[in-house]
Amino acid sequence: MRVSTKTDKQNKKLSAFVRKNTVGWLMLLPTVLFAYLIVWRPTVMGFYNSLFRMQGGTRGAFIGLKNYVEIITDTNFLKVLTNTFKYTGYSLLIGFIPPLLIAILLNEARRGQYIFRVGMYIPVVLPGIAVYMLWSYMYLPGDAGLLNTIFGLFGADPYVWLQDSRFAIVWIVVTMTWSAMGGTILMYFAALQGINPDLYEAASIDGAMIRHKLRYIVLPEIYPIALLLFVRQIIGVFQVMEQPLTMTGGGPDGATESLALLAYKYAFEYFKFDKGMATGVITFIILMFMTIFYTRLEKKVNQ
Amino acid sequence: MSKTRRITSIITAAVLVSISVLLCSCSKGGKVSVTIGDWPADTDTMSSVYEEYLKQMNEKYPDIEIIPDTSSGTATSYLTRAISGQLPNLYVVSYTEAANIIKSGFCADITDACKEYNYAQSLNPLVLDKVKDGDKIYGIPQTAYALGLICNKELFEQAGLVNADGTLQYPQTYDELAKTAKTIKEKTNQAGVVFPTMNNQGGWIFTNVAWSYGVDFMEQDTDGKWKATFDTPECVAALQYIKDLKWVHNVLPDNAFVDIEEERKLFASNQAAMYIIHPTERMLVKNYSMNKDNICFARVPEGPAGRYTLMGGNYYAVSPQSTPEQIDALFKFLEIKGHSPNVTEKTEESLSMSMKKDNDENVPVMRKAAFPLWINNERTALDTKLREMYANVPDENFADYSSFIDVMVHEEEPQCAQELYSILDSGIQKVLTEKDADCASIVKEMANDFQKNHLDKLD
Repeated sequence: MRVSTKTDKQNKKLSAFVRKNTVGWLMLLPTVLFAYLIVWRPTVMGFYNSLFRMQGGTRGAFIGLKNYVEIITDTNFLKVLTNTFKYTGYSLLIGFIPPLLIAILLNEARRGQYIFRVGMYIPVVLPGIAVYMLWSYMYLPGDAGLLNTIFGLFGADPYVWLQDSRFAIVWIVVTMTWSAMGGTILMYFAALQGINPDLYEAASIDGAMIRHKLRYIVLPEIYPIALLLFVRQIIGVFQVMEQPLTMTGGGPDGATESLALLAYKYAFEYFKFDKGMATGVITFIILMFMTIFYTRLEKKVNQ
Repeated sequence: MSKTRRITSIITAAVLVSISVLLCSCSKGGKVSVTIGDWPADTDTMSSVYEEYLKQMNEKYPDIEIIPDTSSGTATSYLTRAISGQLPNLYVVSYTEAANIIKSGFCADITDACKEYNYAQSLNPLVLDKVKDGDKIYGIPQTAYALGLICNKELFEQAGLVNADGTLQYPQTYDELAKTAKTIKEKTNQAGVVFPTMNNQGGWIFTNVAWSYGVDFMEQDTDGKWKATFDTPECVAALQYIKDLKWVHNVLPDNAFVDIEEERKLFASNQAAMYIIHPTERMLVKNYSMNKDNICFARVPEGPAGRYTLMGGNYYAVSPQSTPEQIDALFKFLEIKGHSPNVTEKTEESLSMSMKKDNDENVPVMRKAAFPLWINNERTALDTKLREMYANVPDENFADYSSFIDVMVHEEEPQCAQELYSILDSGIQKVLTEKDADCASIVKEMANDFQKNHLDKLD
């Protein structure tokens, strides 16, 4: 009896809470519905379907983790996984620091700040596929490639760029950085603009040099946004697909194939949707562990 | 009414109206509605011809509503729609994807309709087999061809590779192909030949070369298991041939990432003289404004084991959601379009319209079909008559290909063909980007990968 009364009270409270915010709930409904349809449901269903042998879009026999075993034992899986980590590593090396430096330079610029800011952002508004194709032409080997033509003016021999399996990922990462850097710069720039000018003034009075201001004011102030961008970059680049698909098709000889491209090939070239979904789940799990590891490490460092 | 209740009512009403509109838009008012994929876009010159088909359909079958759908392309572009059950009722894909489409359940069994409308009896059995699984028919062949060697007349002429009678000196063997390409490269400084390396197209073309070198890619054991059988000296020789085109003869373009579209660009702009492809290369004229008279076509070259070629083409598939009434409507549309074994005045009129358009647009129309699609005399005779009327390319430009002498048509590999092509793509890329690549070890690795990653995992 006591339990029933307690439940009744709770129900009344909940119903009052819902009634009080009816408009708010209705306003929220489309977002929740879209998130459910576009993110949550596909994620859960992707994992669920990967446990079955799919025939087109229809679930066949339940096969447990067989798809995962088949993917992991694929003779190329390790190569593809390594490639994906290479993309992430190179993108942090090439793409993480330069936007920060450019944002600081922009912030310090006395004139033309607006023009440079717009200039830096233009590549972001260009359609991705067009950018990757443009860069593919710039990277053409032989005398026809734009980069080779430019380097040729300084007497350099033509280089094979994307056909060099050792560095093809690096050249793709350069393209990715060029294409996406504008957004990152703006975020850093906004954080830099948010720093209280009094701090710089006080530091100047205390005789601080630029490097001191950078070390003791700028970096601590932009640390939260830098951390966010770091994690976002890892998550984003780990799922790289359009760039190798457009620029190299994953070649030469699989040297630029990523996990996401492998998932695409399973699904759209071989019609093996179950394996495509299982590859997506593998990517998700790796990313989840990397993010947890990074967050914990960051906490420890802070402590 | 309180403000809160008023807002709640407005939002609820808006949601209800949206749902009603959505439901109403699905209603077809008693008509049988069919969506036809691969419909030419407004910008396509063929759109006027299709508008005429639409007009004729509306006049003859007022109870059928045709909904044009301009989506087209490979099966890949249809896949997401296939999974969500949103395929057009009629769509066009290539034979190379038929096995996967049938296995995935993305097409309807149309055996009964094919028999009723006389297609089953009148289509070339060699072509019809491409869209069959056992006795069941899952598609209607639209085009058929055997691969051949396309040659750029202007570059051949510049290189002096012309016979006294004005015909081109087509290479008859793969060794001759390398020599011809070398001459062209030396005389014109353009790539003598292009070989695709991407999007499974490298593997697709390489199988033709390999068959001609005597390669068998797979075989089935007595216990039903499939074995990769191409780790052989013949396959090594075929791959070495491709490698030599780059590193010994230097007749390929600098770019090693080449697909069919890139081949077309290079060929149409006189930057390449030859590639292996089908003879229905309309895109060269339509997309790249190439002069049709500059296109010549020869048989695929002969290798040590013979002159093998793959038969290919496109076919109409019907979405699995189609009702019997819709399937019936689709066959009626195909009759109006002239793609039917049953010859009537209308058939001739429709076919004439489409061929005349090609003729007017300077798209090559050969006097002889690339591969016979129909076997019933009436329809074959009509095709011959119309081709005589609308052929617009010099016969000698296609005479070598049309002779079909010594050419053996090879079936596409029976298991995991796309996976095989992808693996072969990688091998080709490796030999074209690494001068010191060892063909024997690459072939061994490819056969091992194909066996372990694909054949061993067949259900």
